[in-house]
Amino acid sequence: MSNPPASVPQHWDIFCQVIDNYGDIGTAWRLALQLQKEMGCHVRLWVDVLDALKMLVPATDVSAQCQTLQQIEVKQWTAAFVCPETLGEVVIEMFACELPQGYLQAMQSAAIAPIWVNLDYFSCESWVAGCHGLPSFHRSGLNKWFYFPGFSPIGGGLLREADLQQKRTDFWQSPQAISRWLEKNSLAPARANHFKVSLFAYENAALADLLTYLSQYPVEVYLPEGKLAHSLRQQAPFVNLQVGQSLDFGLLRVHLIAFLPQQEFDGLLRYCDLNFVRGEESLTRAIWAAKPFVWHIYPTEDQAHWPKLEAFLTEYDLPENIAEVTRDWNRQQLNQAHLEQLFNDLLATNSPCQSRVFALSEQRAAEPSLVKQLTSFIQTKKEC
Amino acid sequence: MKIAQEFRAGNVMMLNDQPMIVLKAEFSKSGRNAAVVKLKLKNLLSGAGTETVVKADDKFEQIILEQKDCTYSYFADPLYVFMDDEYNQYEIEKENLGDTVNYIEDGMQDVSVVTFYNGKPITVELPNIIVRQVIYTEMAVRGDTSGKVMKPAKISTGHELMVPAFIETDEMIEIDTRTGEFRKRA
Repeated sequence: MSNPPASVPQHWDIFCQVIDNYGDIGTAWRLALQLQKEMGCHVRLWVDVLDALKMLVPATDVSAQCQTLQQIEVKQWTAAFVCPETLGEVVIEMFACELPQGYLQAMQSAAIAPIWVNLDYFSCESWVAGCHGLPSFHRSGLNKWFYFPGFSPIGGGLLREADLQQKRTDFWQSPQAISRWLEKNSLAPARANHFKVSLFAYENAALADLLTYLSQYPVEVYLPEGKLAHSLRQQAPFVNLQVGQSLDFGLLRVHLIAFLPQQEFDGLLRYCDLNFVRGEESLTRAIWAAKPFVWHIYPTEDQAHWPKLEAFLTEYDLPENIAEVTRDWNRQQLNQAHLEQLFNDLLATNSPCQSRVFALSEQRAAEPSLVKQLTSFIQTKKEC
Repeated sequence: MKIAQEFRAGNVMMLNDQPMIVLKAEFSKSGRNAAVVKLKLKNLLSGAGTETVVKADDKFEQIILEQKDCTYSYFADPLYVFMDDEYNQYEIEKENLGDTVNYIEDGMQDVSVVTFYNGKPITVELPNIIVRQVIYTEMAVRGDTSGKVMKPAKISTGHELMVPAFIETDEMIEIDTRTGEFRKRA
C-alpha cells in the first residue's frame, strides 16, 4: 500500500446498485481497489447483488453481510439497511443510485457532512464538459457533486492502475507469463500465426455473419460465457458447444471459454489481436490493452446510445476502418466492405491500425487517472 | 413537487429556502436509463446566479407565483416591456429572460405569461409553440427531403437553430420553446 497524500480523505463509502450485467459493480470494485492500493484509503463498498461481485471476484462470499476482500470492506446493501456508526468522509454514489434513507439522514445530522459525489456514466458528449464537477442541490439540503468519467478536458479521467502499462509490457514480453495465464484460465493456446479475436459483447444478431466472415482466415476466437455465447448457441454448428470446448468452422476455431474474473480479463485483451468489448468497464480495459477494439455500447430504447457512440468515435479518433465496423456491430448488421477494409489492415505485417490504436492508448494514459483526478477534486471540496 | 426535467426557463423552485428562478434547463441522457438536467438559476432574493446539475427525476418544490397574460410591447435596453389587457406595463430585465430572449421580436403577437414575485415582474414564458420567420439559411443540397439532415437557420432576433435541409429563407417555421428545437413548417 502506498502512503496517501495527507490531504486525501481516508474513509470512503461507495454505494453500488447493480442494475444489470457487471459494469456497475466492475467499475465500483475497481475504484475501491485503486483508492485503497494507490491512495491508502479505507474503503467500504456497499453492494446490493453480491452474486455480480462474485463473478468478478470469485473469493466473494455471497452470504456474508460483511467481508474483507483485498483490503476492501464489502458490505451487503439490503432493504434492511443499518447505518454504520461512522460515516465515510467521502460518499460515492455510483451511477446516480439512491443512497439509503438512513445514511442520508445520518449525513444531514453529521457535524461535518461527508463530501458526497455522484460518479456518473462515461461519455464524450460535449454537454458533459458543462456538467462535470458541478454542485447538485439536493432537497435534503445537502450538497452533492457530479463527477463524470471521461477524457480530458471534458471529463474526469478513466480508471487506470498506476502500474498498468508495466504489467502489460511484462505480459507481452514473457511467453512464460502468457502460458501461465492461459493455463490458469484453462484456455487453449492459439495456433502459431493465427490471428486472435476476443468476443465479449451483448447479444448480437450479426454474430453469425462475423463468424462466417472470419472462417476464411486463420483466426482463433475466444468467446466468454455470457450474453453473446447465448447468441452463438442459437446457430449451427455451435448449438451444443460447451464452456471449455472448441470448434473449427472453416479456418476459424472458436473457443467457448468461462466468464473471466476481472483480474484475468485484462490477460484476454492483451493476448488477442482484436477485442470486441461491451459497456463502459470493458471499453476502458480495451483502451488500456492498446489493441484494436470494437465497442458494443449499452443500447437504450430511446436510441440515446448512438450520439454517445459517435461522440466517443470522434473524441477517441479511432481509425475509420474500426469506426465503421463498430457502427455496423452496434447496428447488428455487418458490411462486407467494411470488414474487408479492417481485416486487410489488421492482417498486414505492420498494421497501421494496430500502431494507431497503440499510440492512442499511450496518449490517453498520459492523462491523470480517474482516481488521481477524483482525489484532487475531493481535496478542493474539502477545503471549501 | 415537480421532477427536475419538467422545470423550464421561467419556473421558480425553492432550494434551501431560497426562491430560485430557472433561467435555463438542459436535459441530457447520461447513460443507460439515467438522465441529468443542468439548471442555470438565479436567486430572486439576492440576485446571485448559480449552476447546478441534478438527476432528471429529482424532485423539487415549485413555487407558483402570480401570473398574467401579456403581449410584448417594446425593448428599452436592458428592459423588455410587456403589457396586459388593461394596458399596464411590466418591465423585465433581459438577464431574467434566459433563452426566451431568443424568440422575442418586435410586433410579435404571442400571448406570453409574465410571472411576479412580491409584486415585481421577474420573468416571462412564451407559448410552447411559436411561429417565426427564417431570415437566412443556406440553400439545401438538392434531393434531400428526408428531414434527417439539419442545417443552421437564423430568425429575425439573430438566434440560430437547426432546421431540416429542406427549409428555405423566408419560410415560416414552428419552434418548440421548451427545447428550442424546430418543430415543423408553419
